[in-house]
Amino acid sequence: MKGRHILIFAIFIAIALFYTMGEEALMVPYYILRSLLRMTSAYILTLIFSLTFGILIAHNERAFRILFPVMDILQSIPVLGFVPFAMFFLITVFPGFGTEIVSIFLIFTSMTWAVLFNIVEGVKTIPSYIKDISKMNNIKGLNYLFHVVLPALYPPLISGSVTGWGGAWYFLVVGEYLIFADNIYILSGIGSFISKSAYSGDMVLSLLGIGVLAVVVLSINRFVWQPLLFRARKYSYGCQETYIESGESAVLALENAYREGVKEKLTKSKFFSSFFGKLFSFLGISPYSKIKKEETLSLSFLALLFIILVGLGSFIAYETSEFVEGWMVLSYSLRTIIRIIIAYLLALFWTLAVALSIARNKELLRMLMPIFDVGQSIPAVAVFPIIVVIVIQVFGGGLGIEIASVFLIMTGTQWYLLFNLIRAIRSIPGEILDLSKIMRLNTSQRLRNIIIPAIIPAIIIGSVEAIGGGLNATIVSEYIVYKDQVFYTEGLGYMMAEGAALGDSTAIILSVISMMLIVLLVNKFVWKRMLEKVERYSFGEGHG
Amino acid sequence: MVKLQINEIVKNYEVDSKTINVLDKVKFSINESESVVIVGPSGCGKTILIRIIAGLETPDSGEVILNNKKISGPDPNVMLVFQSSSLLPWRTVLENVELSLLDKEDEERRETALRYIDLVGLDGFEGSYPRELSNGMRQRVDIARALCREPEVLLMDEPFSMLDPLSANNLRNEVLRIFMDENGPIESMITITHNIEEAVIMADRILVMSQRPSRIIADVEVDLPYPRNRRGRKFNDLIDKITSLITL
Repeated sequence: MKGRHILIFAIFIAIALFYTMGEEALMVPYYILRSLLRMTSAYILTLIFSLTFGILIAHNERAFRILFPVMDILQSIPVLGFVPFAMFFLITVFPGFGTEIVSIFLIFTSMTWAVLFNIVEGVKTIPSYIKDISKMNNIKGLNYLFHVVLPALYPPLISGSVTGWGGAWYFLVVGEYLIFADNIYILSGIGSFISKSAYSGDMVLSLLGIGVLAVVVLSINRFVWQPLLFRARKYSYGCQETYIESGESAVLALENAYREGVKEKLTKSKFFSSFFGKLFSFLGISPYSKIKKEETLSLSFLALLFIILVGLGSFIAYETSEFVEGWMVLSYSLRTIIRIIIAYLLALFWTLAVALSIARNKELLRMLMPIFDVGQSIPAVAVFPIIVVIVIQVFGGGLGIEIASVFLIMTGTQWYLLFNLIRAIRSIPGEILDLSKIMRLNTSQRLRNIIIPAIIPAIIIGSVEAIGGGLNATIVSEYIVYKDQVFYTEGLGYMMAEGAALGDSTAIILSVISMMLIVLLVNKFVWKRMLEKVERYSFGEGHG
Repeated sequence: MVKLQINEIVKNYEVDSKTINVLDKVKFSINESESVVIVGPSGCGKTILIRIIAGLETPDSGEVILNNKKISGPDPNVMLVFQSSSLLPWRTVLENVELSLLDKEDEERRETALRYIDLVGLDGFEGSYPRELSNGMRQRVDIARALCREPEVLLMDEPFSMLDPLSANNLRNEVLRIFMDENGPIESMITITHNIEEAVIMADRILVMSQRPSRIIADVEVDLPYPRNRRGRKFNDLIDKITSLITL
């Protein structure tokens, strides 16, 4: 999307705002500023946290063995599950601005994993020849960090940031309108502007709010991330394949240039390696560290621990909670799982169909990508009330809310799948597609023999994210407030939201733990197994 | 008998809104049971030329004529072997070769595939996956996959350049042996290379391409018996001649 399109869109929204709100529209820039401040603070936290821990985890074997699984599990907690706890602690500790911290914390937790795991991956994929050069030139500690690790991390950091930041808008909307123990906490910002308008039934205003948000999101993508992504290519070890001209020497030349550059930089700055150098060497940040993934704490062990915890928790729950009873956790889990599976299958169906038909068509892709970008950038939660009202009017209360919640869960799953699939189809090597042309395979032969197998890993990886995102969406999909009326359907998300509304910590804990369990078990017993099975499906170098 | 005619092929590329003329009226023809090797400086458009012959790209003007018929798009009688192995990693060697034969009955497909796997010296590896093979072996699978279609013209785009010299030499001899076999599958063969020695080893005729905008600037007959003696005086004279033509 070009800058001037965004500008036209923005002017249009601004005029509409003045038309409906009059002078109050002048408050909107202030809301935007507040929201951006929140996002930026969360992003700075994310940078500090994920760089420190990412580099440490990737370099220090012991830290990796202990922290990686822990973070993997923390990651599996639906972000919104953190909210009630955070509310409880932070509002008591900082009565004045506790909610502000909660909302920043919420955004932070939604941003940070994408960045963190990208960084860990980035450190680990520093080519071994770079490590060898560093060893030969005795580069370690701070020098190694500044001249090898950080530049190498630039591309994964940026692409992780784009993902994390993009996902965080969703939680900004939630985080500015918090419900806890009979109180509603509203922070001024563009998210709460949308929520307030929607919940009070002013559809026009909430739609305009969504428009404002779309302008903000698109401008940041266009004017911040896009230039940064472009710059990141310079730091990338992987080289764009120059397939047509078979640029035999381009890759080599680039690698050589990089080697020379690193070598030169590294040998020049010796004075750095004083205190910090030793510190970083001590922490294990040097080309010498090697980590194997298999040596981490066993996930199944941790999962077992959680099962025991849930057992204990449920036992206590029956004693203390007024809300939780009997087999509620189990039946709610089942309902939620079924809902997610339906939503996931629907999402998979349409994204696969769309990705297959557009990914290889440059014109179509160029036309549709901006629409998808806007679609993804509008946090689904913001449009929930509108969808709910429409669906309930069409299908009636009982079935309506059921359909609405599946539909809302879909909004949390489909984008991961769509973008993963498009990327995967586009990265099928050119030779392979040429091959199918030379062999004159027809469309169905090509799909069955080449395209579908080639994107199976991407489908699985996209599914991991989709299921996680779907679970997250249940919290706002199974419990919806509209015009002071609560619509809900029974499930884990409802349990958590209702627990938060009642201030019933047992219900919250139980629902969070059940969600984590679902994520961990599904990851371990479904996705991980499938990934191992399709390992050979990826187009990698074999051993020569 | 003329097998394949390349008629005044022109191909331009748009780079940063500038038009670059890559192929400028390239014209040559190939006879039945002839091995032609095209050499030329890097970036002269050799790969584009062979992709046009394979029907993967359309020229801006000019035509490719096979058996007196103009071809547009991939033709079943022309197969291309890529520079780097293009095997599907999730299929075994046998399944990869069978991909070429999807239109055949199961039994015939298997039998043909196995015969060609045997022909390229991979007997016993039909159940292996590409990543379990060395570069040279993978390239053999690619060649088997192309051969089993029994194309009238086999195109190869720097087929041995990703291999170490020893494997390259072995595979080159293997391909020549298959080509020389009267009852073998290949009728004519076009190979692209920037290895001049390789050209002199393989070619009945060597076509030399110029810098961009490229055309054929020399057509050198190699009148030496196979297998060629690399130490022979004639062999080395030819290498010198081609080298001076390229650096002209």
